[in-house]
Amino acid sequence: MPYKIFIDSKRKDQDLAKDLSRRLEKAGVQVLPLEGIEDDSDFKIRESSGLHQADELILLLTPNSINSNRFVFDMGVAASLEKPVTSIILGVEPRELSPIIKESTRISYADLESYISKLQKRATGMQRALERMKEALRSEKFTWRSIERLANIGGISESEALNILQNDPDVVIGKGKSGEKLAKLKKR
Amino acid sequence: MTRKAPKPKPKARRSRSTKRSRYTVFISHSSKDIWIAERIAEKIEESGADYRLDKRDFEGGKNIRDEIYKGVHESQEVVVLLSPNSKAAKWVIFEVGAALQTKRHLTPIIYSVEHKDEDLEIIAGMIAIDLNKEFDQKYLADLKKRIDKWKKKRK
Repeated sequence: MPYKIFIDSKRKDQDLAKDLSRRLEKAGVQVLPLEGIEDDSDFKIRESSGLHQADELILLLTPNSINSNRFVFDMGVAASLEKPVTSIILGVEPRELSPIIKESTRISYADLESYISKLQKRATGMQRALERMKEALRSEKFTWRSIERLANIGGISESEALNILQNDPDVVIGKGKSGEKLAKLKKR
Repeated sequence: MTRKAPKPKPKARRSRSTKRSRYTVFISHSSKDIWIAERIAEKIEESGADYRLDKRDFEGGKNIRDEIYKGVHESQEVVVLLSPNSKAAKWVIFEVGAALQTKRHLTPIIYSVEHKDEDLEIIAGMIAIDLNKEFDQKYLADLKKRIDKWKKKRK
């Protein structure tokens, strides 16, 4: 299962977004369909949107989007979903960024290759973690296992474990009596 | 062999969503509005809820994202105080996104600003409470109902 990215970009920056998307896909990262924001005051939660399915949110920050409220709104949604946020910056000085945007990981467009290379490593690490967690779920000893335990097995954080497990078609997510998140394989 | 879901070992549990024993309201405000926020907090406490005051001034040093995440996740509902000091702030938009995603009950409280203000597009489709006109009769009355409902659900 490839690492999935959702790109927030303004409609005016679609050529740039397409170039970014092409370079990410070339590196084996899946880019969810580009939507291109035109209406910056559209603040609706759409659970079917790419952002909810993605492993990471990229903000494409240019002079066209630096003041985008929709980007900040999506950052809030991503934080709540515990997804990492990376800003790719072109033609904008860091001092021009709002404090909240400054808290995302910032990458200059010129350094994109080094970021993509790190992303590839992260994607490979996540894939290995998923394999280890699924192996643990195949154990005869348990049907359900806590996400906390699975995260330990995978060597990743609980939020990362939950994120990749709930996007895996073989895995079902449930809740224990104390409200803790659990996972099991569908076929069991 | 099929087993029931394993019971967690209490000592080993580390959860980011530590549940408080009382219904908690996350009150977000600009540091310049601390006096008003504290009055809101007093009223909320008198209604039977706990509160968590969260001032925003961005003087640096703190991780805004983590603080908002924690505040929203560890509370049952969110109040955002919108005044001339906070109406254009980006953290308001971030906070609304986080609260809506977690499906927390979110109440914008407006003070000395108009609901129709162009800086307040983020709350355009929401029911806002005017602090000077509707806070006691509407917000606090509804809050008591939500607290009762929450308590019943926990029994």
